[in-house]
Amino acid sequence: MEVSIKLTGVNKIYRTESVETQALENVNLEVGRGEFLSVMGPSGCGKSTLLNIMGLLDVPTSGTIELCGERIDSHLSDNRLATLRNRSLGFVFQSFHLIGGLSVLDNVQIPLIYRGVGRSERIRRAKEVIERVGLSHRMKHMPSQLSGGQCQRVAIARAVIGNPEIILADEPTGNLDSHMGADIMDLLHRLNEEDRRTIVMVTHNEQQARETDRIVKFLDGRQIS
Amino acid sequence: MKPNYLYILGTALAIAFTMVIAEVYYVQVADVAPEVNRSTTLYCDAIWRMPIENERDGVVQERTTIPVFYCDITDIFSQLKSPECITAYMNISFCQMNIRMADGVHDYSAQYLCTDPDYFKLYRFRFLEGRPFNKTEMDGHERVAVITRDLADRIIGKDQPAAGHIVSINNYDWRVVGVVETPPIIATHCSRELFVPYMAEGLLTATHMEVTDAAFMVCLSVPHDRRDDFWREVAEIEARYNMSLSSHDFPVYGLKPTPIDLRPSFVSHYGRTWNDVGNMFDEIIIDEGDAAGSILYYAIPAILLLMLVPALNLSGMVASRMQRRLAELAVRRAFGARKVRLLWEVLSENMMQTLIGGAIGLVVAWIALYMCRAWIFTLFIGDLASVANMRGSYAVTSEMFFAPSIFIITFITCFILNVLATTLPAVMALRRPIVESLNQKQ
Repeated sequence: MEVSIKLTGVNKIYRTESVETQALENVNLEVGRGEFLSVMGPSGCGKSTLLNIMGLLDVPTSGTIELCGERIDSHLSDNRLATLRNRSLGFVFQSFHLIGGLSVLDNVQIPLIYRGVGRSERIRRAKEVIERVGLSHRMKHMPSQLSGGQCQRVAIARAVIGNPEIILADEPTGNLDSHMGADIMDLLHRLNEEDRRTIVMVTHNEQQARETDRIVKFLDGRQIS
Repeated sequence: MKPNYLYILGTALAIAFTMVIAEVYYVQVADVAPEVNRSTTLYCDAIWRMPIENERDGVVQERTTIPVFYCDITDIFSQLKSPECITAYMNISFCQMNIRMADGVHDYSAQYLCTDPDYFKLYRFRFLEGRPFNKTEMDGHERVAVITRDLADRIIGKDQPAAGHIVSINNYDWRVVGVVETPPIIATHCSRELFVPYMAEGLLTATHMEVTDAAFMVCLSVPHDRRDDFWREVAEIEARYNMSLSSHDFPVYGLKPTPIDLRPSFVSHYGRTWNDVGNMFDEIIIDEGDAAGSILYYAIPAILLLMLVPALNLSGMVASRMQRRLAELAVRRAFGARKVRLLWEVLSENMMQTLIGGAIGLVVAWIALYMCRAWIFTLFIGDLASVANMRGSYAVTSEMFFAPSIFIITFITCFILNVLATTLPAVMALRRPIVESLNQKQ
């Protein structure tokens, strides 16, 4: 099996002056290419930390990460990390993190801006993905004019526009009602099945997790299954 | 990106504030008509004189200043060859002459200035009619006068030709030889209504003093490339004068002439202006009229210092805005933006807003200056009684407001403001870990 993400002996410790918190403890995990993986566990068990480390948004205290075959060293430059995030990763956040001052069309284009894609090409591709998530009638709207489900669709469109191999979704349905949540899950499944994208999803929802290829569970920073 | 109106407004006010300060300074020192030679003009209204003895009865005798008298003009200043122009006017503060008005009944009290024909070479009045009085008229003690258009309107009639008219001043007939555009109030050496030769017959009744008793203001235009020659000449004249004192012991204004120290007796226009600001900068009264030095070393730092307060305010505004934008910057970084690119985006975005704010500020400053010109143009004139007596025009000319140097100072200020207010908060925001910035919003 081709591996998209490989974590070996990953530890993450948060230190303050008086307290030391082990957020992840000796995590060894492989995610195959095209796999849809769910990460479950109670709040504070390290799920989001795991996702942040996979997404190069945070650095492990120790251990190694391989992403799409490239070993991520601690001395990798900021620019290289930025390029990897831009080309290989797409993020879907629980609270969407859309930029309030930009329209749907502009929000979706963001990854392509930092890849140096020309404006007309960006707009063409943005329209394509927005259509794919079913929001072509909302392209000029601002995030504040959209429902939660629509915002998450925009966030998914933004995550996939750069055609990344991996999508990391942190509780993508956490802020949505069940109906909208089901819609979003359908969309993620379609992306996984049709485009063979690797998806790692943090969720509290057992039902949604069962629909994915594999579930890993965490407790107190340790992988328990 | 949506423009930040509060930031633009803050910038506009800061720039307006700077512009007003810069303009107030500029109109005081720039070559503005009719004082078009301010940058080369030196003034002398008193001569430093040394004590005859350094010490008398155990008391150290200090040097003192004595006003310039007519004899000083003939004995000292007339010997100077290097100045482009030398003129003198009687240094009487805002005395008035009574002029019979057009109705033939009432008198009008006009502010006058007694001077010589060269005055009109140094100060370039715009003659609407006629000409300046000349040397022949001066030497012939003729009663001739140059008047402003405003005065002509009062005593002859609105827009009526005035040159050649005979007017009654202090019960003497005077001939109007020229009519000039009313000078602006900021031209303190020119803002009078009536200009007459100080040798004119009948002047005594107005000034209540003989020309030999009056104190004078001597004004010399000495271009910077002639300054070395000028100071050499001054030293030679000073030496000659002091050597001749033994045979020149008649009293002047009741005082026995003493050795002169001529060089420090000259003050540049810049020196006088700074002095008017309240003697705050005594040490920078530059006797050589060093414009560049004055502006470079004192005016620009002073303006930048003034700008520091609004800059810090704006910096705070940008910092708070950055705080609100932390999550946005983190999202952009999560999708592949490099720090340098984001820093550039933030800087250029702020630069654009600063420029917009600057342009608005510029307009606000011009409006404020126009609306408050009567107050602003007399801001640095310490003597309020003088302000009340000044009879100049409050008209604002384009040369006052569209000065390239002011634009450059404002642009540099805009730039420094932007860099100061943006770079630090932006760099600090971008140095934070992405996760921390993302969680900020949550």
